[in-house]
Amino acid sequence: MSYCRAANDVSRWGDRSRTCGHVRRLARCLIAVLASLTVWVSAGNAADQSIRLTMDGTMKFTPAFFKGGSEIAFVQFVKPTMFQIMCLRMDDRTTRPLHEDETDHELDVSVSRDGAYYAYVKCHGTLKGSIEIRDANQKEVGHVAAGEGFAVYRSLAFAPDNSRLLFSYAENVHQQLFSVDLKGDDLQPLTDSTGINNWPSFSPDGTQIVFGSTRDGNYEIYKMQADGSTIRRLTNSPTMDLRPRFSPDGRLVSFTSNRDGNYEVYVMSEDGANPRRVTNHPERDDYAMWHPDGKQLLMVSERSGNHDLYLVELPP
Amino acid sequence: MASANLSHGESVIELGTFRARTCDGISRRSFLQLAPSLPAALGLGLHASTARVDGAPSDRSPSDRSPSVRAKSVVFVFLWGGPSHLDTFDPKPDAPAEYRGPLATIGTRTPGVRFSELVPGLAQRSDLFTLIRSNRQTAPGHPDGGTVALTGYEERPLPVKPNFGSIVAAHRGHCGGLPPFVSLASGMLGDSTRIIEGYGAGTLPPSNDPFFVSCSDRGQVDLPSLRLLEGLSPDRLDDRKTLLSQLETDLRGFDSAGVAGWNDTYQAAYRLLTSPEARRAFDLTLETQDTRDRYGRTTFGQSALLARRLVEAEVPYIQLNYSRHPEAITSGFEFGWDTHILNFELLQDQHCPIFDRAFSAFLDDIYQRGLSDDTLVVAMGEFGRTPKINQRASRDHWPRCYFSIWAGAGIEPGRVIGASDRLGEDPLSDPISPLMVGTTIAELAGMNAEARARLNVLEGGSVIDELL
Repeated sequence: MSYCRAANDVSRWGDRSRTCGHVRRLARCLIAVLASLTVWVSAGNAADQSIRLTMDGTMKFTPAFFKGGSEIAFVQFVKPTMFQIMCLRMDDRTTRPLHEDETDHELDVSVSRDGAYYAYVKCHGTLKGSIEIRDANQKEVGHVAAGEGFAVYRSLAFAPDNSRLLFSYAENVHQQLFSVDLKGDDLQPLTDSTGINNWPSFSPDGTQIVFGSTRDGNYEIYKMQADGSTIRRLTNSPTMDLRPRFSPDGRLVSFTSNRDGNYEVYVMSEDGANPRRVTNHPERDDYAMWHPDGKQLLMVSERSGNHDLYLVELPP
Repeated sequence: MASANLSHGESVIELGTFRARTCDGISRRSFLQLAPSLPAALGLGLHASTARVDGAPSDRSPSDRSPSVRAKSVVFVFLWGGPSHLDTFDPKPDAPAEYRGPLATIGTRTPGVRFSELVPGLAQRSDLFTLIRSNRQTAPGHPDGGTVALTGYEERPLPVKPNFGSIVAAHRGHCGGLPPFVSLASGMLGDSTRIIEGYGAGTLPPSNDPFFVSCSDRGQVDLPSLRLLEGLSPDRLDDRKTLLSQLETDLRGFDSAGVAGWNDTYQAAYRLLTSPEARRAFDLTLETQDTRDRYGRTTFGQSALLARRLVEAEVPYIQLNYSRHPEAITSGFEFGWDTHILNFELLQDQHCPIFDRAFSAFLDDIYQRGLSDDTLVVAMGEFGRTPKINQRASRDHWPRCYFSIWAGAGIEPGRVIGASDRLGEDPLSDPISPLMVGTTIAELAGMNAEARARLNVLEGGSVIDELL
């Protein structure tokens, strides 16, 4: 039936075409007006004032400034069978694998504050992963072998003076924070609690560590001295507060929370006061990392189903 | 070829390595290549004869075949690896900490029912489906558990029984230019040790094996066993004479064993490649960008969209696999739900956001497009995960109790059937077995007890009465 109707309409196609032209022009005008309105309406939304750094849309994780900020290292889901560390050049926005010939999963890349070292988790076999520590020229500096059985380290973080590397590791039912020197030796436990302790981040002066923990039932953010003492809770929400990061000046802490319904990036004072929402979008904003200038946050944002790196201005 | 007119980001259908359209303006030539595995991958149900194995003619539309067909299409969403029931659809907020885990619960549209905070989209759509919280099976490992989940029976004693999809395919026969049983995966499902033996036809003729189709996060559709050969452009796929000539030439390249069966099978290849219906069904570029965005630009998201298109093309059975492999972090393997380590992080970061978005969009489309009345949707893994948190602060395999989601085909939505005990260890109500799952699928797909007996399948199975 619809085919017949289409055939009968052919003779009127010219008229319709002209009408369509008018409609299209009108639609373009409307779109332009709506677009300008959208910019105006969203002016208070930091995420919409952001700079999109990648365009491929594949899933990305744990971005970190690299080589003095001229590059960004991040983990990308490059194909269904592989996570790989990629490097984005800030000047021409090209990306390349950090390790060209790598065939194993690479996770949780972390870069030292001075850019002299980086570390990542390298997977081996089934559900196993070691820590690899390298200098900026990719020369191996240290290594922490995978544990027995199914065992993968997570959430690596350098001390500001490069004396220690923090990580998270699960054993004996709970997941604790540990540190090693950059050779991967001198293992020191930092937490001894129930639940999961994760995402450690040093303060710029190296005296304190913020981290996530489920010790009180759900994911909250805590702060402790660098030796693991004097633990203080910074957040208290019924849902997840994740991935805290000290700002470069140590006065603020960024984190991810779904307290408002989906994953958004927040900042708060280093004592937990005055939490502020940085992003506000129905899709996910996560993995915030401070720009060295302390005025912007690098993050992974999902927009229209695509996952890309964005630089977002910190709201005043 | 239309690629030059396509905007950046627009995606493609790939037939083997052939891109009918490209996402970046590249116009690649297409080539037709037939791999030795083509007969199995195509499914010999595409033979010159498309008769059903139970002897009934197959040239009728599915709705004509049985007055009791409630599901013209079945979409079986296989969450391979075993998702944690406690951290998704059966949380236990009042259980001790070593069981309940760190996740909060959120309200749903079903009064009194709460889900984990990791599935907010589906919590807002709980009125679109019915949740069963009392599934139970007996096989503790992946390949054997996969066989039980997909066939209703354990792998031993041999012979391995047929996949539910093969049963429906055998009953329905071929549907136009499309195979009756499509499995959306990049290849045969298996773990790092072996394949799921119950992946396919089992005791039924191999013609009822699944036809594997993979779809990338960019929406590139790939038919692993069809490779396009040098010298055959996509525009010439419609040039049937040339295609047949090419196929015949190619056949001469195989040894006699490989050639056996080709005379029938190449007709099937020809039919699929030249069928406008098939090519249209596989072409995600025909969807709006907005629609594709809603599913998420992930492999599972775009595969879910492809599944919806196959429903619209009335493919009788679609197995939408979350991944080809169950392992969560194993080099060289796709990421499944087998979270022996990092359970909570992986669910937070990857699995649940991907699944929540894609499956929500799929349910929305099934309802909004008027497909829900005659489409059955089932989502489940091969088992659940240990209620008690393991030594690695994660969860291991738990076949004694898990969940399944049912939607469409006249099933009253917004309900919870069955319940687990206070720790999520065992069903409190009568357990729902995989055989009951398969029998219910078959019943809704138009196979009553007599039809099942005729095929000698699902013996002893009963339907899930509460569901129907």
